[in-house]
Amino acid sequence: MFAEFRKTARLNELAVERLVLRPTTIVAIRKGNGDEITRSDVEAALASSPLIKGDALLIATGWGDRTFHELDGRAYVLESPHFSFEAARYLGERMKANESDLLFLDTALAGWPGKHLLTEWCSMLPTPPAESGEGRMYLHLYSTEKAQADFAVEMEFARLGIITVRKLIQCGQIKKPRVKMIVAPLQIVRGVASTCRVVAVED
Amino acid sequence: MRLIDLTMPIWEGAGYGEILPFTNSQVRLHEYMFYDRHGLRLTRMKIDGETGSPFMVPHQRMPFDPTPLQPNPKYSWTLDEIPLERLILRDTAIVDIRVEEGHEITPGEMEEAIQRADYRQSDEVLVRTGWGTRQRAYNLGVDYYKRTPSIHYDAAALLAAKMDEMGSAIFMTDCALVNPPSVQGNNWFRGDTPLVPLPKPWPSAEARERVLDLGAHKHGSHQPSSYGALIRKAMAGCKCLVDCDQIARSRVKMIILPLLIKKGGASPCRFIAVEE
Repeated sequence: MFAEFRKTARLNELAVERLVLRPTTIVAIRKGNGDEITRSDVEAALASSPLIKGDALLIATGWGDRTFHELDGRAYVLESPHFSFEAARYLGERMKANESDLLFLDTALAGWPGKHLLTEWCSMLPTPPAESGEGRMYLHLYSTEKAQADFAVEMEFARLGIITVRKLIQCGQIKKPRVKMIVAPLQIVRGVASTCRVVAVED
Repeated sequence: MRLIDLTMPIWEGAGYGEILPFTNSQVRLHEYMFYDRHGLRLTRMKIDGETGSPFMVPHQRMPFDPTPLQPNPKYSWTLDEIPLERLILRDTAIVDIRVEEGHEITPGEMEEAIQRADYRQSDEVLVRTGWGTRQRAYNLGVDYYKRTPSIHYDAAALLAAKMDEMGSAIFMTDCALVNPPSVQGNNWFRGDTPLVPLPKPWPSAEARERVLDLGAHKHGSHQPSSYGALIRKAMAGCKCLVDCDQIARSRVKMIILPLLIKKGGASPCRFIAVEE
């Protein structure tokens, strides 16, 4: 399974047409603290806002419109709405069938890494820095099985060839149901992920 | 519509920090999750404001130091204060000055190129020499910076005055350095008395001692800074664009997207030319 991922496109190989002025359909699935996005949520949203062939998809839950003081500390990440595995698989398959390979999310997380990572790492108080000896030891013991359980949603999107861009903010400012998106990740040679600038253009 | 990516890629060791005594040291990538073990690849990355094709405002050292590179700059926005409309689909004139490696662009060459260009009011400016290509950067390493064409101070001052008159705010070039290497690396890797063998880069003891002698970020050359002349009149200076020869027209619309760094002064940036 992991061999598939090693052969996916790299950041410096992505055609710029896939990232710049990309037509994008916007779908609203309103969610709050810790909510799960279910398959039925996705079904209902796609029924009301059908995907146009080849469009990217932006799912707006409203999470990225919350103010900083509402989500201080670690709440922005730890209370983020997120997909169930069934919802992710259904959405990914619908997108793949529609030749939609780019998914924007205004959530901090795509899935919920709560089976192992959050419960184990966050239970260590005070939480050690990621670069610490404890961090290295934790990752050394963080097995393939644990990673598969925690990141099942992310891996399912990757398996279906979907590029995900999360942590969008201020999507509530978009007035139209369809926009052109500009996505500008750093162009890291053979890189697979990057911090990114994202701009919506309303014509 | 045709889209052309003019962005210098980023890779381990990239950048020219290793030949300077300043803090813009090389890109470092540290992988800490792996496909064979975790099914994911996660990497911690060290970059700085001049990594890749950088976008640099007059207050380049923000958020750490509010002092602008030059006194009384025309613009004083930090990265997060620049309106999106000033970055997206900007009308841009291509100013063509074809020169050999190591050449310092003269005022006469700059004047002639400006005359030839289809340069209109409020345009942004892209000075194209033909030097900047991905392949050349991959092949030459730090020589890409040592051998780059550059802009003599008088030519930069002339262009800065023209940009001020035309209401242009963003200066871009495919040169690897705007200052001549002899100025930028004065008495370090170039200049009258370059240090041989070259000392270790920042934060080595010798780099720190150089900063003690000259002050932070000072090149100490007797020649004034070409980049300083430009940035005093510009909202941002941008260098190390690549593959600009793919642009077929004399004018394009540019999409210019630096990272949205809170109170930031410089950032790696994506540059996309749109030909209509």
